[in-house]
Amino acid sequence: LRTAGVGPDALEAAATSGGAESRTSAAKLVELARVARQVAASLAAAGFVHPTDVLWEAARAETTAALAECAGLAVYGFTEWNAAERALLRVATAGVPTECFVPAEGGPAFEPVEPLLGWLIDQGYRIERPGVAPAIGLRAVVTRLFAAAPPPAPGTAGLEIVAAPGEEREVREIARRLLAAAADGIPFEAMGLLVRRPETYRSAIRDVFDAAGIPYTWGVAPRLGETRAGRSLRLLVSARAEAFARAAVIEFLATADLREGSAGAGSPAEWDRLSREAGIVGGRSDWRRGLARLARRIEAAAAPGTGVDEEGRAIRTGPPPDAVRALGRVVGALLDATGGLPEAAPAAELASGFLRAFRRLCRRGDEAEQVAGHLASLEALAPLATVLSLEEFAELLDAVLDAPVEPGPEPREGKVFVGELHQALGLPFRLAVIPGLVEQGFPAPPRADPILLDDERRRLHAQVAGGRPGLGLAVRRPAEERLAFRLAAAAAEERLVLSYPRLDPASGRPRVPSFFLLRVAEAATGQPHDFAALDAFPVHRRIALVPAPVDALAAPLDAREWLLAQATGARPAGSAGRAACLALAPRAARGRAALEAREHGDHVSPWDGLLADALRETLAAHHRPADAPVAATPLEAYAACPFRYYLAHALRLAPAVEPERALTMAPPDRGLLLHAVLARAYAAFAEAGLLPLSPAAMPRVRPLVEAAFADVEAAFGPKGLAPFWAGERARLLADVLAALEAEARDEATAWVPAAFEVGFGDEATPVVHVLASGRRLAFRGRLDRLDLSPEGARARVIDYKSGRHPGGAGGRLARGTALQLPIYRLAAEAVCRARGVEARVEEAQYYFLTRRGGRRRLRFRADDWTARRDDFERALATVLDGIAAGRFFQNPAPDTCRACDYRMACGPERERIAWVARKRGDPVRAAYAELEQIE
Amino acid sequence: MRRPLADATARERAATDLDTSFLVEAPAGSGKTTLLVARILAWIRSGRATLPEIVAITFTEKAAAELRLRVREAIEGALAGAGGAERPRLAQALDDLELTPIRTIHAFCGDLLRQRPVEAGVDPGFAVAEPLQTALLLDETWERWLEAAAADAPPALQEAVALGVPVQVLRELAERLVAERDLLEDLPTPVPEADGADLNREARTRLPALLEAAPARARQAVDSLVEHLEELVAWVRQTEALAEADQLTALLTELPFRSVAKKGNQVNWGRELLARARGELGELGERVAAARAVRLHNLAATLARWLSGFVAAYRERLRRLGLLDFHDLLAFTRDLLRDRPDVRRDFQSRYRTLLVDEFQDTDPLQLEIAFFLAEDPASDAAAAWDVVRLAGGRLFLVGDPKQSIYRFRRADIETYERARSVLAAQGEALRLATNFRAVGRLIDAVNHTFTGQMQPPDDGAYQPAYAPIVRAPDTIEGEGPLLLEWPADQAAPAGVEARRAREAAALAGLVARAVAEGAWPVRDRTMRALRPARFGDVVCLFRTLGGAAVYEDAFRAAGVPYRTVGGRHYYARSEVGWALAALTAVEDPYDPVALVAALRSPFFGVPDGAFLAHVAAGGEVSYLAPLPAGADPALAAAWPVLRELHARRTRESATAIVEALYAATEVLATYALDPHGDQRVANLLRILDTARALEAAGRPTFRALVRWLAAQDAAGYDESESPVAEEGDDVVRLLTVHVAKGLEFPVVILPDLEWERRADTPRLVVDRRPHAAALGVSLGKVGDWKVETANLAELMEREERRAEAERLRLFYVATTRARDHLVLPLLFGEPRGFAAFCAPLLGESGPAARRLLVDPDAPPPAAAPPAPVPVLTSREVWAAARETVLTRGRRPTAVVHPGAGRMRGEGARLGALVHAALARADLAGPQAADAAVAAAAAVLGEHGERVAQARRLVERALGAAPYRQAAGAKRALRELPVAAVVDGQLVEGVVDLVYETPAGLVAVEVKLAPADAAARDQLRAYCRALAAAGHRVTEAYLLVVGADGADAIRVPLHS
Ligand code: SF4
Repeated sequence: LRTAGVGPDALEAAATSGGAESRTSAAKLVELARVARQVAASLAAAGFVHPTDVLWEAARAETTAALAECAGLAVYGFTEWNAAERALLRVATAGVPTECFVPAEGGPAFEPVEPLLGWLIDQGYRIERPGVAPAIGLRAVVTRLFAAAPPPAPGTAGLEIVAAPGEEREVREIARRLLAAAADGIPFEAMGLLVRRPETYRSAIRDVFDAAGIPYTWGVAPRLGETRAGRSLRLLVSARAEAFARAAVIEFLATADLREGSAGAGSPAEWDRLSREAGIVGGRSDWRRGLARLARRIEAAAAPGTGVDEEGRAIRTGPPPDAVRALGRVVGALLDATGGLPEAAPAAELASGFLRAFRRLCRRGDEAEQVAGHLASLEALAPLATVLSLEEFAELLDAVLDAPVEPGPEPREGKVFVGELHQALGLPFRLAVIPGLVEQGFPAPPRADPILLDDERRRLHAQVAGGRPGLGLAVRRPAEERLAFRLAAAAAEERLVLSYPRLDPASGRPRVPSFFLLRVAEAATGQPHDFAALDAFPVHRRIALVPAPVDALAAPLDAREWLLAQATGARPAGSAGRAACLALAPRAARGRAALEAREHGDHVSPWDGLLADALRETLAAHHRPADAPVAATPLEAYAACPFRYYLAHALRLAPAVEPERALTMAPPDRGLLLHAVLARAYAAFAEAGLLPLSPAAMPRVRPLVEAAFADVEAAFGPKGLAPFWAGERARLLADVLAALEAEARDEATAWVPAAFEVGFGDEATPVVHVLASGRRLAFRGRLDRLDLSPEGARARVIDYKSGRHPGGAGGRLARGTALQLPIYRLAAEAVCRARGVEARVEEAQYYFLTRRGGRRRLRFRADDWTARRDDFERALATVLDGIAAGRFFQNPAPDTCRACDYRMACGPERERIAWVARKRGDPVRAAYAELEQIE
Repeated sequence: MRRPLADATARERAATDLDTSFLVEAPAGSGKTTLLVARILAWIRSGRATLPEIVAITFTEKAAAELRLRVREAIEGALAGAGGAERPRLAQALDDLELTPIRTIHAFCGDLLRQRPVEAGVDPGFAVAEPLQTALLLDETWERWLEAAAADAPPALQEAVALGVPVQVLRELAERLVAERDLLEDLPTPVPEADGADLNREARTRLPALLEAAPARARQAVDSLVEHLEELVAWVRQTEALAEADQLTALLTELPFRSVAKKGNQVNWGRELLARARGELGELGERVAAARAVRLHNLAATLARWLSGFVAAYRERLRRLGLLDFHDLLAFTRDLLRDRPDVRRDFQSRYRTLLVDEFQDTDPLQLEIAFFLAEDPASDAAAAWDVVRLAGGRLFLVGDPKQSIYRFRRADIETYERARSVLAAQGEALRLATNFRAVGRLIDAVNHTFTGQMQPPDDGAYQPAYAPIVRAPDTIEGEGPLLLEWPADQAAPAGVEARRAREAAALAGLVARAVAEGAWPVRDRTMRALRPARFGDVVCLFRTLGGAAVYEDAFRAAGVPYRTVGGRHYYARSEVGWALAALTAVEDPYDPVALVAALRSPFFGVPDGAFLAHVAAGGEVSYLAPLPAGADPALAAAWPVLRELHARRTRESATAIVEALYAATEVLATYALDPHGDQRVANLLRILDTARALEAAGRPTFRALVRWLAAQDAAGYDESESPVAEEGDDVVRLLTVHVAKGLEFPVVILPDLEWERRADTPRLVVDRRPHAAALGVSLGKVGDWKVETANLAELMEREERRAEAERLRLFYVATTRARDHLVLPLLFGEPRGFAAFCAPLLGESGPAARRLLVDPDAPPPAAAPPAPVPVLTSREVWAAARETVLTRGRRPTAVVHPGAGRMRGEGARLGALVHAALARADLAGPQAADAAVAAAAAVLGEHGERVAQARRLVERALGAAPYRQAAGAKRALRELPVAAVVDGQLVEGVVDLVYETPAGLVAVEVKLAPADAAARDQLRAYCRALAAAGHRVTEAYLLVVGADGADAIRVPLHS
């Protein structure tokens, strides 16, 4: 409104000029008038001047005097002048002979320039149309553009329309044409890429041109707000504004170039997980408490690093200390640096506060300095006492960081010019490219200005002397777009490439070309065109969707295309072709070997978990000496999937906790917690003389369980968000209490819990089993609990389970995936012997004591042992031999894999299963396959 | 002479009667687009509306584009023969084409809101959140909101967690609430729980009493009722120690009551006693069940209400970012029109008429928008859409209730029916019947199939009565549907998967042969001439593409080119999975599983044994740790690559890191060499597109990319693979019926007819009945109980009936896509899914369906022999050739100076400040430096040390000879722009200082760095430019200003 010279008075006058139907807009105009007055008053009070007012001031002052020395004045680069500019020009030209250069060749495309020409005539200018060279070649097509029924142009030389599958591919084709032109002797700086919507193309141009080595320069420099330093500052303000909400803090830490280096001490991804796991939500005290909790847990965890859960999976038992410490450092610095900043304050005060914090937290660098400088410039707002909230301050900061990065746009020499249409206005290019000629792209859909609708604008025009103060109208937008296209096309002197993304690359959905292209075809041929005809237009080139279309094969743009061209060319030649290609791409050869062996081979290969014989010794030395005692769960793990065994037990990889899971308790945690609570509780019962539990003892049991829970909680958690933790805790507590109640009721007279957490397999309690083959095996492990009958003649082993009952009857070995119970039974016998207890071990059982588990049991009894001993030994031998031989192939099955934490290492399920299916017949798998027969 | 159409009158009126509002029921293939175009043209010709005043709403962007095109063609056609007043109107319409509001409803609402943002209460500069952005926002908002809201969540949350409701379920519900947020008022409310203490006490006394009362005989024998009672009593004891409230919770959520109708042996109990015991126990069980239902209802209802807080948080986030999502566009527009009659009037004056296509599948909000806009401006503004007084001719709705298939996107056929009756009361409902699409026999078969099956039910208007379609006059006879059958003497394969594979193989073989032999004649575009079908004429229409993989395999095996449109297996492809692993490893050096995955993948090809060797040698599974000596070469090659990418990931764009990973591993060649390499490479390249899309959505970091991909993968949201074939390519297309809506194809195959899946209970079930809308909430089944609101079962039942009705309509849509051939594989005769709807075709009285037995033993087609090895280009040769081109291109023709060799950073800012100060300084002497630098610093926003430094430099410069001479010169110009062509090169730049001496001009350039050759060349070039402009230049100086003083170096004018 200021450039148009529309002041509050005009707004108010316009408000009363409309009819009854414009009540709403009248109110709006009055409101705008009020705002305008207030802004003016505020600016004046603070001693600031609005930039536009400079023009008006100049137009009022004695500009002529300043121009006295000028012999002449030339004005160019405009198609439209606003009121302020007109006023200035009127004054300036009063004393100086002036020539205005206006692009106006005549014809329908130039209609938007007519008002300007009219005004110039009114001002006494004479219109002179310099003789134009006869329209031949490309020019002939361009001059015919938008004509009602153009005569056919003499040819289409130099013109090409490129239909590429998606924006990135479009830019690739453009780059290819730029290189072709360079090869023909056109220098890069004589090439221009005129972009209607730069935001759509910016990243693709960056990626493609950089890869192709094409030097280019944007007409404008990038904004400071887009730089890493700029983003960091914004995120810093957000982190403070959101009261250090966890996500906001992590986002800042992940983005900023921190002074507190984090090298080797956890990545933001790790910090993200840690902070979630610690239940940190946000706020200074929450962070401090959570970090302290994490620190305590480092100390509490007996062996930070990895352990094994009840299923025998490797898990992390304690957080990685380095990462915790690093997180503590960076968050501490952040809280110290910004915690003291007020929630709301005048802009200058906030600016200096954040400036100090930014300098303290982020490393110096060129862009960081510029960002700091712009932040510091807000200190100049000291005269303004208005108190801003942090959010308002952030908006202000956005505006400030909208400044271009110094040193501004790069020089053009030797480079392709890339810019918006208006930046290229008047620049001639030997090759000009206009991308994005797609519906809704160019022409852009005409949009009414949201604040002032066309009607209101017209009413305002009527208020201002001269009638046209230059408020744009949405209805005129199509004509302006036509003009912009016409001018851009005219920038091409020798070659013009018009391109469009003819489909959406993600979905393959076709997109409609801009009808400007129809006009171009019509201008060239003199024939009406529809889109089907456009396809057949001789210079229309459709780029195929495949990754290496013929154009790329013939003229690879960058290393990627070169590589794809060789591979695509070699592919039809089968294995000879592959070999020829891999000779050129040695790094691909390794991957190719892995891929062929894994996906196409019918033998288990070194890429399918089959270790070379040479590694056997390493395996024995590092992982498992042949005579070392073995634990049950790893053996079962091998039986379930040898590859999983390899990752979990031989390599001892502890899967990282998925971030989402950290919000609440993960299943392995639940198992750990349950075991820990029960172990402590039973120890307490024993001490209090409450065992065997009886209904009468129950009132004393509950407080002991709760105390055990509290102990465990102190060392272990809480984990995740408070209500989730509380819910999980309540659930677990209820489960434990219910199980104890059941035990007191049903088993008080039958069994006496005698020992808990009994280790075996050490020197004190060796557990050795001699197979029928004479082979000796030693086992190790830990029994959750050993019960004796009241008279001491019978014994049983209980292993707690927090999960679901798998269904089915007891006594099964399930292909060797259920070896634990028979081993526990053997161990119990050894334990009894070692303790001098003469008891027959009747059974080993899993006790699924939660509600989810239905408080059911799964048993392996003494008579099962008699019946299954052979199978047991066979399974054991197969597993141990397989491990010793380094046969760690996958055994994928939907059920096993779904619960597997190593899925990522195996490739997606459907393909993984198909690959392995092909190898089922490999003799290497034969022994393992026989496990199938063991029920 | 052509015979008139059976529905000619209706068509004529619909096209030309501009004073009546119509709802036109236009069945499949009835030429409704032609009708829409005709009516639009009629409005223009009549002069009663210009093109920008005619709103036409289409279902998709593509349909809008096509309609615009058709309108353009129609106008151009009409213009050719027009005269009189019509001519200028049509000509104007051509000019107005770009202003025409032929849009999708969302785009149109966007237009309306942009015109009235203030009144609508939306950000005037709002942008529309695209689906990707919406998904990102939901994701972020969920985490943030949950973390913040958990602090004061209702106790119900803890209770639900304790019951075992997973957090994922809450999220699903939350997202459903977002989708239905206009209905949140209708969420069920918690109800007061009856005093449970009584029930608890009663259960605790009555259960033991019942057990006591059992006869001794029953207690001694094995008796199911006694067993059950014992179980219950044991439970009562177990919970005795609990506080009363916990006892009640336990009673309601844990007590394992079962049905007792058949429990207990009469011999043990005696008849009467048994009956009494059963009765009492049953009654108690029912009361507990009732109390439990209330408890679970409250749980679900309370949590749903709590989760509405998430909806508010999401909306707030949109608002802050100035975004509207698709739902907002509709909701804000509806509210604007409903609540602001003045604005409604304004729009009514702006838009003269409104045409809506595919009206049966519109969102209920859209319907309200249409009616409000079509209101008679002369009437009183209605408060609700269904009491709007329509202006004659303003509303034109086209739809076909038989094709209403978007229930999952809130389309509701009952709402459609209401709209129909509201409109019919003030305008007219018309029905078209002629079908221009299918051949005669297919039309007959469709009529025969649906006439009996599609009937209005008694309990609601959720299925229309079937109205037969009629052959257009010159329809050719063609062929009836082709039924594929399994030979009766062959055993059918066992299992669904095996059967599907057989069917797929049979179809693939059929298509391969039919195309090779030209067995399927189809009509060309003109619909007259016949030609043999190509692959591109054939489509397979699925209900979901979940099972399409089997068919893809079969087409691949048969050598039939195909393309799956919108199939969702992207994340199930190994190359994508491996890429995700590699990117995760780059992002997080402490994720050992990701690292091992990346290393063993085709990206690095490390054999599995290498990991053991590495660990055994003391290596850590993190590339930030050193690599022990003697590592496997593949591992040794990978380590530095990952380490470098990890270090670069925060400094460079996400795309640059992905590209660098691809380049360092040459993985694209690895995959490109595969038989389906194009697809696999395209899938990998798509990650780059995703990165760019995220960048455009404001998430430019590498971390954001990895998190996004991982979240998509983990959540099981799969996406379509990157297409490598497209529309117009000669390939068989596999797509869903929904996607095929509104389209037609020469050959349509409907595979997997027997597929049937009952949908899982959704988290939110919606009954949109006007004024009686209801929402039911389900948190799923945990243990034995369903955590859901009390109304859910009834709503589900209602929903099921409607879903079943929609399934039949879906089949109608599927069959009516066919123009020339329809193939129905009814191999194994199971009357399930769509196959059940085919029954009428199988009967004796059916129309001429052809039957074809598949050959189970047909051999697979042979593979082609390998081609000869082509000549390949080595990287070096290629790179050298490219470098030659680049060198040629880089040769500048212009010397464009101001930026050349400009410093960056600290030096640049100091330089800028010094130059700015010198440009404005009073030339009187060094004392002017202070003021000049202060003024320049204010403009450039500089302070502190830099300003002081600049002041010292400026002082020295002003004190140096050139500036002193300039002070006394006749004329001194600073920052003088020069531009001239010198020796064929353009010189363009700005000279720091030029002053005039009697002998001529002196040019001065100020430098803060030592003078080098480039600086001299530059100054010389400026002098020549000045000379070229007709001036005599006598001297040139480089004034080098530094800490030790200022040094004016005279530069000879010729080198
Ligand atoms: S995902 Fe499956 S195949 Fe891979 S390790 Fe786990 S269980 Fe084995």
